[in-house]
Amino acid sequence: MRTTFDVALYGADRQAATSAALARPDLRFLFVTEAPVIDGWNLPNVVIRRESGGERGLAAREIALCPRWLEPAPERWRLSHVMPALFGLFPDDVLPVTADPPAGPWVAKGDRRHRPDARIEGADARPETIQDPHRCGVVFQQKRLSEATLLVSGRCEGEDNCALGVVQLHQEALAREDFLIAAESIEDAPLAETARAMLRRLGLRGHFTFTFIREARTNRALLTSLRPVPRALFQLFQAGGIDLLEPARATSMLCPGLRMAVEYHYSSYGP
Amino acid sequence: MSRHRVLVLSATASAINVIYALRDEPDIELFVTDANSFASGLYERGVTPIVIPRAQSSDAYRTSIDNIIREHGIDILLPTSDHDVAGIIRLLAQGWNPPVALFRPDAAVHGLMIDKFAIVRRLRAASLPAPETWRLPQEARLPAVVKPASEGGSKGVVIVRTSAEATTAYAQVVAQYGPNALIQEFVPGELGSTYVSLMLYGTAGELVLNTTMRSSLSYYTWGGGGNAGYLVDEPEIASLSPRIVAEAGGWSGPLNIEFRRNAETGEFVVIEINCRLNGYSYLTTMNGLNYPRAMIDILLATRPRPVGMPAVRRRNFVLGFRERLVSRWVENSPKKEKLA
Repeated sequence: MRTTFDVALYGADRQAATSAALARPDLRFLFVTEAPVIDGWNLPNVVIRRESGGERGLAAREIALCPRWLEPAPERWRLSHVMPALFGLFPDDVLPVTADPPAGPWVAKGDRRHRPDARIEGADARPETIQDPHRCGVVFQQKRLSEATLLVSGRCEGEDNCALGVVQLHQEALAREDFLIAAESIEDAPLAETARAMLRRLGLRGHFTFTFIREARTNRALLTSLRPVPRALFQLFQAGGIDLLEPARATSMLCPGLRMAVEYHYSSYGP
Repeated sequence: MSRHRVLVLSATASAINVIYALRDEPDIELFVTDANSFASGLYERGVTPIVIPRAQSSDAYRTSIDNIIREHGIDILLPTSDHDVAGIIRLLAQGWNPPVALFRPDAAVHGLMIDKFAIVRRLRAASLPAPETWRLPQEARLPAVVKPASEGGSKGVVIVRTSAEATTAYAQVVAQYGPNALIQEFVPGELGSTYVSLMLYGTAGELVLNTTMRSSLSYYTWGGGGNAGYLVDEPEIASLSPRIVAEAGGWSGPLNIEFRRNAETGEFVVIEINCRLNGYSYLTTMNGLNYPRAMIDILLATRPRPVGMPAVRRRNFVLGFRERLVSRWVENSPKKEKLA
């Protein structure tokens, strides 16, 4: 099928959509979304298409920005599947998730995809406030005191073809999406190697984002989630010489010292 | 042409409107502060960014602002966040009298407006449309909304449908925001049921501008905050909002009232009053209603410029959280220079 778009982004209501389009103004993007209003209307290289079916074959490259849009259905990437698997392989590096709340303070998380809005936390053994109107699925994770949140993100086409970067999240906003507000690439070779080892054992291909916390008392990096999607860091990686819109053709690491601070961008939207 | 040096307190949300609306004005030079060195407005083109202590740290906050006013010859002060507005009003009430032009609203009126329990009680007593509100979850009729009594911008808001949910959510809000929590009647309504009345009062308490807008996408999935919307002509809100302000005791400066239209009754109900421009007030600037410029003109006692655009040419807005690369972080240091 002849396509007129270079890249189709599915779930383009996510922050990562404009990040990608701004990183490659030379490419023609199709934003696919079921949301009634999204950002991107004023970008000259973007066309927006509203649908819920996710017709494929519309572009040379197709990227899901939310697990809801992954094809085939992303059951193997549910936290309730992938986190126990990783905990079994890397018990010192993973904070497990459970179907029921653990003892002590806990955080409710989305099983299939990120749970929107404010974080729900508790300490009761039987939480009765957890509703799931967005059908994300619910799992629980022990709440640990942390001094930093670290994202390890990139894309992987094989063991020797893996572009990756470690990014410290200085600020995020938990609303309809977990918006990245300020972030910075850092050097953390041990963490990068842990993530690579996890990728190898999982056989993950494509985009990925690991979320680690650096635990306050122990300084250990603990994995809290893994989603097989990119985040709004396309320009950051581009500045470091890594194009996340292209397949990784070698093993590369994002250099430290690259910074992003979100811009609150106002524009008008179409029908 | 002499330039006015404007100190904008806070660098997010409604401050973005102030920055965008004023940075290209030939007679304005902008200085922008925030306690958070990662706040977006500090990295905007055309501003001098400065990191200062939080407004809640009253002495250090005041000292810092005094130093900036003196060092940079500031002649106009515009607080834009809830905490900065509260901080400045508190300092003024303590006798602070900086050599700048700024709005000086009544501290007692401010205290009433930002206390969600007290203002609802006042409005309901005056037969103005406000939701039924209770202090404790066991008193509430469900479904309901649990929230902190004095936070703006939908912070800490939780919708609850069972008594167990209400109890747990209430405890969570108290733990996070302090003991002053409340539980409020849930006003049913889907996307598009949230309206904001943005008003600007002059220094003598006269109403100068009154604009109504409606959100078409919310910041939170449950409807709080606005990420997209458009201006509307809604005579009922245009009539109600000044009556609400009058009942509260009058105002000086910008102020916005959030309404929710009850899907079952069609009635507009006051959800909260925020003593500042609303977060997405740049929508008004996009439509030729430059509230920040009008604020400057009021404080300088010059005639506010004509505003407005015919309804057929109105623009809507969507707010994007766009990735932007920056060369370095604004440091908490005396050295201040534009980064862009």
